[in-house]
Amino acid sequence: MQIKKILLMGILCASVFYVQGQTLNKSSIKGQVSDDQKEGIPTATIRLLPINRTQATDQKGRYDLSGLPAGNYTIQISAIGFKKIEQKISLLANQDLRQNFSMKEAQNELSNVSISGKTESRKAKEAGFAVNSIDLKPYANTTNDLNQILNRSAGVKVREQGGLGSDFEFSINGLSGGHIKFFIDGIPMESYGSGMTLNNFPVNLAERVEVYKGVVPAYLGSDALGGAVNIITKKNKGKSLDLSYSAGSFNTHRAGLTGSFTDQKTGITTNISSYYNYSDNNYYMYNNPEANALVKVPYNGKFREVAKLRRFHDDYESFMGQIEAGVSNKKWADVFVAGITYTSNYKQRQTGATQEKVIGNMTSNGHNLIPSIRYRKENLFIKGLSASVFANYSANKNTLTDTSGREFFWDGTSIPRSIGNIGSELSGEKKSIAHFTGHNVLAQLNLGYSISGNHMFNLNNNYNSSYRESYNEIDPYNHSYDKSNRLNKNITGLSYQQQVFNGKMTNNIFGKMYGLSGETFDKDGKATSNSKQYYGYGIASSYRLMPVLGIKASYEHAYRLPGLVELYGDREVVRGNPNLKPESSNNYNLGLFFDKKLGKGKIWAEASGYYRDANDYISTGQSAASNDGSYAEYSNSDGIIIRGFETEIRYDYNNLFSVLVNMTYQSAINRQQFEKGSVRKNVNYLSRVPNEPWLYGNADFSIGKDNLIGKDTRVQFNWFTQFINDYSVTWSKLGDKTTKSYIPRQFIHNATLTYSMHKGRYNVSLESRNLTNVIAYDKFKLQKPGTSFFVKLRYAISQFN
Amino acid sequence: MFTTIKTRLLVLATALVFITGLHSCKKDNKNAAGETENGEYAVMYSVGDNSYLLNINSLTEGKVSPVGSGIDVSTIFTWGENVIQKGRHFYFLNPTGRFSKHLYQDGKLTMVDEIPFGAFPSPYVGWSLWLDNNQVMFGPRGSNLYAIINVANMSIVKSGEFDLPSVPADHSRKVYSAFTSGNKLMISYGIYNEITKLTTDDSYLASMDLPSLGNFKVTSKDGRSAPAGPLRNGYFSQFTDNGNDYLLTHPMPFLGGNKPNMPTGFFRIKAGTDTFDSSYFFNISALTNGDNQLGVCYVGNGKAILANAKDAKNRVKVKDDWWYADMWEYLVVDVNTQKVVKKLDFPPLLNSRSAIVLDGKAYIAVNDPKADAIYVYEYDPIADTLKKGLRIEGGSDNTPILYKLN
Repeated sequence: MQIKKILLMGILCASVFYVQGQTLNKSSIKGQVSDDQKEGIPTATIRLLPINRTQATDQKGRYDLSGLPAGNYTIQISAIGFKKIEQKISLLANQDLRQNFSMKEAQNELSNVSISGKTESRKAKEAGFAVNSIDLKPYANTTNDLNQILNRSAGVKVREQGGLGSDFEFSINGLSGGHIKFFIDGIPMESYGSGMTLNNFPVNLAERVEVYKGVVPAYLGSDALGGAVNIITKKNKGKSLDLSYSAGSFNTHRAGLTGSFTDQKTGITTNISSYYNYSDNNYYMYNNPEANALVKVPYNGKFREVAKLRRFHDDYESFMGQIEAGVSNKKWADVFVAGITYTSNYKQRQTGATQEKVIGNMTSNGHNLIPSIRYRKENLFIKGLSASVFANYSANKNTLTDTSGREFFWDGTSIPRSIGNIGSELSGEKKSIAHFTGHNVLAQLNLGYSISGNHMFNLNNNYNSSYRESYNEIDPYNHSYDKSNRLNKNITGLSYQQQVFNGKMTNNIFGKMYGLSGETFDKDGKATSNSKQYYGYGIASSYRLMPVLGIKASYEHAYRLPGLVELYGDREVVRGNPNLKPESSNNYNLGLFFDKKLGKGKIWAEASGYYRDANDYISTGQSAASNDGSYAEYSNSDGIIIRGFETEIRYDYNNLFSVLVNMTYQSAINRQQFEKGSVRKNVNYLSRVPNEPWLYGNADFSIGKDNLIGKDTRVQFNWFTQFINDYSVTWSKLGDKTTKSYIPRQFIHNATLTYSMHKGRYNVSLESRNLTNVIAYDKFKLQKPGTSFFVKLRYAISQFN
Repeated sequence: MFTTIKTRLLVLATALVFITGLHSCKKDNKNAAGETENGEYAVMYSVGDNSYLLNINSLTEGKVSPVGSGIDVSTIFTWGENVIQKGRHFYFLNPTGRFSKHLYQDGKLTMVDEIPFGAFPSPYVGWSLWLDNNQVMFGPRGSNLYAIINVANMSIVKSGEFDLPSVPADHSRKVYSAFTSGNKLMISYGIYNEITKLTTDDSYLASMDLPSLGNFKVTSKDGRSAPAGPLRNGYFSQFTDNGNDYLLTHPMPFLGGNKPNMPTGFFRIKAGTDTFDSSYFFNISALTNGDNQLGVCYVGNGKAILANAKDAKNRVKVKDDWWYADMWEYLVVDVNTQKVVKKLDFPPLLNSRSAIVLDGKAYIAVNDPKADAIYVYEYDPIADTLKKGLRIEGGSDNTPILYKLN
């Protein structure tokens, strides 16, 4: 409190002196701070000594210090990730001095692959949150989507069910599914409909990704129980263009485009972003007794095993187009942009819950149209107050077609069901062409107030309202298919961030308020509504013990609100349970970070432990008792406790090579102490939860050389190995271990060779994934692709190259 | 370059993590005491989401535990109600469209054969019966379909739909149970209105010739209770006493046909007839304050054991309560005197309904929420004794299903 008072006093005094001085002093200094690519650096700090005037640069890196008395000054310019500039200046009376500064990146002598762009990353990291901030620039020439990049990161596991566009489960420190929330530039991804996901978003379109583990900053307004992923796209980057196309195995084609330009006459800035993905996904399915995953086809009324067969009904296609136009640096707005996004996707389905169930006709497709507006203003009404507003509306249409009355096999053959092709493939009983239409409204307000750069307040409010209705085209008058319902979420977050001890210590304290209300409509249109409110809170702190070593710790009491279907049911397969409590978790992180320059190299390391105490899990269960096959009902169960440890070490040497190794160990244990409804001890109490990877790691090695084949070229080679230890599909201590099913231990190797010309403007890459053709699984009896090859062409002009 | 103390510490920490990880990977291999591999009996039960098949030497003593022993059948028998057992063989209709045969011997469960099976759209078996030693007949839950498989050579003998002309237009037939009576095959069923999406309140009975399934005759339509027979495979519902066939109705919500205004009771098909005896309906709900029952077993002399969901109307708030509310009790009923003869001396129990009968004695799996494990109790209806026997450790969810293997 004392510190705050002194600060407040100081601010008041400074303001008084400032007002008094204005009448006497008429000189000024103004200009722009930019990087060596001539790109303005926003929020760089300008300090004028000895009078100690400070100012932050605006979005374009401009500053304007006016009302200065004549005299000799020292001007200091600092920005995170850049080398500090200090320069002496003499100012005459009534002089308007123009002075531009060009800043050099800190450790500029190191590899541009490993260091550049780390500035933003580091800022987020040192705020005390357990965050992986991944700079995507080094991956821009690969054919990866975001999932594949994030999967290399410590504490993150993405478990895919197949090839491009397949369903996946994203987990952070052992919590997955609905526990993890995704954002694009701070906007919840779900507000964009189902078209945009981490497995179709190409790496070129984003600048970096932040993975918050367990403790999520209040400005990401969502009910993320286990963590959040925030994708920061390339926007408002002056003039830039990044265009890429790749083609490869399984008839896979991917194209990505992002660019922005400003019309000089009107000052209107336009951002465009687009991607297209297509794949047949017709990779080989291998007969693999080791993983208890057999490929069988009918033969004379029986089955016979076949060594390998291609998938035959797994086409995937997705498209996204986004255009935004607006103005910046107006009196009334720093940024005002209106945009529209369109996504579409088409997917064939090849398997049921496991590859034993072969599907040959079922498809799904969807379209989303999302208009949006974005507004930002710094120093609104008073200095230091910034506001940003985002709103979007998405209209979604999805269709699920399951009308085949046939039973398919891996060789593509099928037999009709005995009586006239009845039933459908996945749900069994009834054929359906289910149409889901819905809309989603999101409004987000973010207010920030900063005092002297060391104290920041942030208020975030997210209002999200979603509505969904459906009907079955084949049986349109059967109201049992109606699933109309509405759910509103209102989440408010308030945070206070301070920097103390000369910036050595950062603390961020936050609280979140979750409001939930919803409505379901029965077949007569009668509405039932419900509303609830919950409060979460947390803190994240970091402290630099010495210049090379720091410690950080964070905690959050987090919630995940029950979803619409979980609460109200869908009147077809899920029955509502209005007594559901939200899932809650106490999440703790404690970590050490270390970075040091060693001659021409740099070593960077981080080690952290985490603890998750997750309660009231919402699940349907799989046993006959909790799911009788005709319908399911969600209920709260005791949840799990996760203890884990992760570590990552990286070494970069002089723009020549870099090595990165990380390893994650986690033990998720069952916290259900007693059998449901009884006082009997649960035999699995404190046992490790099955079917979850518990030891995994990655090793990444890059070597590259500039000007090896001609001037302004670079040749770069990357080798990446992924390791997942074997794990039991069911409780490991139960049953004779020879009778148990395991996901086998896997080492998967990938390599990329890139040749860049014209300082990275033209790039050609050759890439191979799963080089040794390991029969890989993330999920039991759901095989992933074997060896594949891709070639990628990329053209990029921007400050990024 | 890498010699700083901090770097060493990090390496050490990483190594420690590895060691901890490997250590916790060790499996506990101890077997349950006194168990030999080829016992007379077996039990299959679920622990959480997983299921285990364990060998049993004696039902009257000892214990079994899934810790480190037994077959993990979670990924083999993915749907418990689709298991049909005879002797040491377990047959399974895999919801993915396969019918398989497994041999349980020497502590191992070996798949003997597997055939493609696409006869049903619904993957859930609703009823099954053995026509002879080699032929098993079964049908999906709430459907008019059936299949007959010869398990000796694993071939589909026949599959199709029961007589269609006897089903009115815009309606379909839902078969709830099938049993043989003399040289006839009897099916009990309900009629479902495809327009109103409702099942009628009548119980139907039909007979047909074996093995042709011809000469189909609808013999009864009876509105006293419905549905006649259970909706799920493996639930006990039918027995023969003194030549008369008895069939239990299942109006129970959720676990049965959800006919809350109808009573649970036995229909009788008198010896030599093929119709529901219009002069007989043993209304058990009327004797139990309106409660509904599930079948457990037949113990001879007209006596059957039923599981009574006591006061379910007030006890069941959410679906899970059908399993986890301590409201169940075992009743002995006599179909001749039409009386509830006895309530077995247990405290209120969780859902349990599995039993086997040997020499007139019933061996019942009893899930008492206050006991330290699930126990098998021996009930001797002649001596009227109840003895605590085999201890089944770790059981959590569904009733352990007991099997006699020889």
